[in-house]
Amino acid sequence: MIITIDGKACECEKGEFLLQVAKRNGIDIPTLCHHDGLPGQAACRVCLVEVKDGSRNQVTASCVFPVDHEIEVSTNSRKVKEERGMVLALLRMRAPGSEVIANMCEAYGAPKIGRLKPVVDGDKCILCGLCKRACASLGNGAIETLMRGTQKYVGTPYDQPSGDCIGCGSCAEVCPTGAIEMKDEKGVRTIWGSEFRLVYCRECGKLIGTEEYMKAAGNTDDLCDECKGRQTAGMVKDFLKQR
Amino acid sequence: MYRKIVIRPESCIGCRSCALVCSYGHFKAISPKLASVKVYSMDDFTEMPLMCMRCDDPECVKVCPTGALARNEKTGAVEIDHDKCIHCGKCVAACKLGNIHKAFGLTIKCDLCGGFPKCAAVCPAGAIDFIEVKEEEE
Repeated sequence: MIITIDGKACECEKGEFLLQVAKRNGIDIPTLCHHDGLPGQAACRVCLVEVKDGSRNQVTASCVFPVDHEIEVSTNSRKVKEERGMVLALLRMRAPGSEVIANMCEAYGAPKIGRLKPVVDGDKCILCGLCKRACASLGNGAIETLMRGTQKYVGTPYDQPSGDCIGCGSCAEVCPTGAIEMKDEKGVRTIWGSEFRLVYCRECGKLIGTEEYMKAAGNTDDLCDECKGRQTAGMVKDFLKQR
Repeated sequence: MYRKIVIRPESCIGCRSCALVCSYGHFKAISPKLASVKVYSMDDFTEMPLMCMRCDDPECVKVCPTGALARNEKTGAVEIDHDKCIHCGKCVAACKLGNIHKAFGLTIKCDLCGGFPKCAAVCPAGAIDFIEVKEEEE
């Protein structure tokens, strides 16, 4: 199947998402809540595109729009620019502390909204839920979006330190706005209100993770990648000597 | 007939050209930290170049939560998709041979350069070689 994105003919399979097709063909669509390793969730609405399907026109989130027949897509039409600008302006009100969003507002021409005030001053979270998905994909499920409506926030159940968290830091890694704080201090990692003892390589002293994390990954001998490699090199050498 | 990487540590002169060309080929940067081939200096002054050994049943693919690590059937190498990776580091801990590592926020692993390994092409001493194996010799 061939669809047209910004005048460029792009080949794609039925059921593929628009964002995927655009990315493969080198067409830039800005995103916040999207990560290639996790399913699209259309939470941030920054990836808006205009889809022309015969006489119908619609502006939709490209990360969850499956292609099922030949359509014409525009990523930079006047309508898209306007709506994306408004989405970014509202996100800036939601997360005034985030540099990423401030830069995007500037790059994509977001209008200034005078009559609204930031929800929480200095907040960085846009409540996209990517962190919760990454945690679930790892099989931990330690964090969730809590409360509903304007009081919604991301946290551990009942704001108590979660027993399921292993302190891997994947949530902080995937967060598009850098809202999750993770601190490594004096052999202790603090994240989501829990404290984890850090594990260092027993040969060279390099940081390799937390105790719970090493247990989950099935690593029992507390060696970093380089020391494991050195061990392997020794094994290979002995093997070659025997031959 | 297929091709495979052969290491001859007795020929290695420890120049680290392989590590430099590896990092340049993948990331356009000259940095041994970003290289997926590592040269270890052993206690008896021998040098040992090592890279991913392409296990039959790779542990790293099994633990990857997002499917960022997958085997390329064409080359036989397990490749990493940097866009899909969420940097949980499970593969680093799971690889018992220590051939996956993290540097500068990236997870780095040998992908056989899409079937034409640059380390083997550049090695001046023939310590890393990419040879053809006839099926009778298997």
